[in-house]
Amino acid sequence: MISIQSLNKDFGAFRALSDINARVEKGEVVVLCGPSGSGKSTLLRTLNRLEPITTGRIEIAGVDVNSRGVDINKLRQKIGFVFQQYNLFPHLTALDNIVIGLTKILKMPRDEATKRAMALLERVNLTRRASNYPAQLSGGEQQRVAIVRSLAFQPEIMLFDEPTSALDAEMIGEVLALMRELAATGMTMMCVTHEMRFAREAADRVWLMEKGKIIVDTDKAAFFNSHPNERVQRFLSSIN
Amino acid sequence: MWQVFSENWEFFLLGTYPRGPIGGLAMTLIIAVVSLAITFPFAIGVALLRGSKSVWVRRACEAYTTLIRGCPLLMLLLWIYFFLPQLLGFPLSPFTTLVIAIVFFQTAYLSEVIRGGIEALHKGQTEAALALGLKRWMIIWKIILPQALYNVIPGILNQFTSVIKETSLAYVIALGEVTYSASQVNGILMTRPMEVYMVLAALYFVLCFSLTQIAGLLDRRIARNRSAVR
Ligand SMILES: Nc1ncnc2c1ncn2[C@@H]1O[C@H](COP(=O)(O)OP(=O)(O)O)[C@@H](O)[C@H]1O
Ligand SMILES: [Mg+2]
Repeated sequence: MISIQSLNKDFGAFRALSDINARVEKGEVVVLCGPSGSGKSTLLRTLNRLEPITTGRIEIAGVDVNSRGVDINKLRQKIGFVFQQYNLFPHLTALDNIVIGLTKILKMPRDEATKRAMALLERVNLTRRASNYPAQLSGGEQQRVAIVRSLAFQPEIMLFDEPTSALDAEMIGEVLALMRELAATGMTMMCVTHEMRFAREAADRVWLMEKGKIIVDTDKAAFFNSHPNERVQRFLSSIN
Repeated sequence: MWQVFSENWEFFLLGTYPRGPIGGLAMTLIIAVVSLAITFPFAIGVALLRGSKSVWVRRACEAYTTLIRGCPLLMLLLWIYFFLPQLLGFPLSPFTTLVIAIVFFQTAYLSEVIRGGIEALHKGQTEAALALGLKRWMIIWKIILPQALYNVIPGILNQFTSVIKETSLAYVIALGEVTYSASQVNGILMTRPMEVYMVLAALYFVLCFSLTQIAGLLDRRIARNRSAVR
């Protein structure tokens, strides 16, 4: 589903991603972890070309993301992206945050778009919030709206960049529950998160990044059950 | 002063209307509203072009704003008054002349205000819209501009007070607005220039002061809405 080959990414003279080679299979859930500044966000952002790459190749469902001919907007509709800061559009209601993409991108008639958006809001128990603006929603509610906003396009891949880091403790659970539910439906997912309970429960694989490199790429069981790499041990003890 | 106003208020507010052409404060407002309405789309255009990918487009816009900001409106008005009809080959009415001058002038200032509004937006807004797959112009039209313009409503109102003050230049091309009215009243009365021009000052002050007050009020309200969002 996702294939990354010899990927390098420079910011000026600084190498943010260095010789990344990795694959994610369809339906796999990968948790990306690593210290701050190790390149997790940058890696995620190269996948939907929010960040252009320096050298290498990224394929999503067989399509070269950075080739000239690719219809990037089409591709991005297949890749949901969830941000740490939710990034809902503050001038639009929860409902319209979802509807705008459907009517403007998929050219869906407004009533059909509204129907789909309401169904999505219902899925996350936010029907009663449909006509509220983002500022009137809690962080957890905003993030759930942001997630279903991406789901409205029926994407094949969902990318999460620290979706719960900006949330108060009592709201983290509701967002993780939604992500677990998504994982259970067979969605291909990559999640940057420090929530190791999520990784333990929902991940298939774990990637550990450090200084722009993936230093460990292993299945979940191996990662959590006394992985021989001492950097894994150091990382696990640093976050607990 | 009150007597001067009460005896000539129709002339101050409306000029010779309805017997003759409209003038006075009404004309001042008409010039200001028409100029700003025409300025607005141009200012949005220049504000967007300043964020263009092409260096040359950015430079051209920058050059334009720098040049305009470095020249007095009166000079611009005289240039347009004397040169533009020659260039075009047909005469322009004083009204058109003044509106063109103000539009030229204010586009530079208003575009800076709008540019500020655009740059103040969190870059996450554009990124979220890109990640959804929205096209660039759709992002500008549906996501960026509505937020940026809403946030700079106070700035736009403040610019409107500038425009009101700038309309007083109509005087030099004999276009009958409120300053011109005052000078005519003064010409008729002959003996009371102090009072006549106090009336004029009071009219400008009431108009501009209320506008800046409204702008301040909106500014506080918008700031409150914004802080609720973040
Ligand atoms: N736009 C940018 N310009 C310059 N440096 C950047 C930019 N974005 C990220 N970086 C740098 O790249 C490195 C990796 O950043 P990031 O991917 O955000 O790390 P992480 O998400 O793992 O915390 C950091 O050192 C960061 O300072
Ligand atoms: Mg990050």
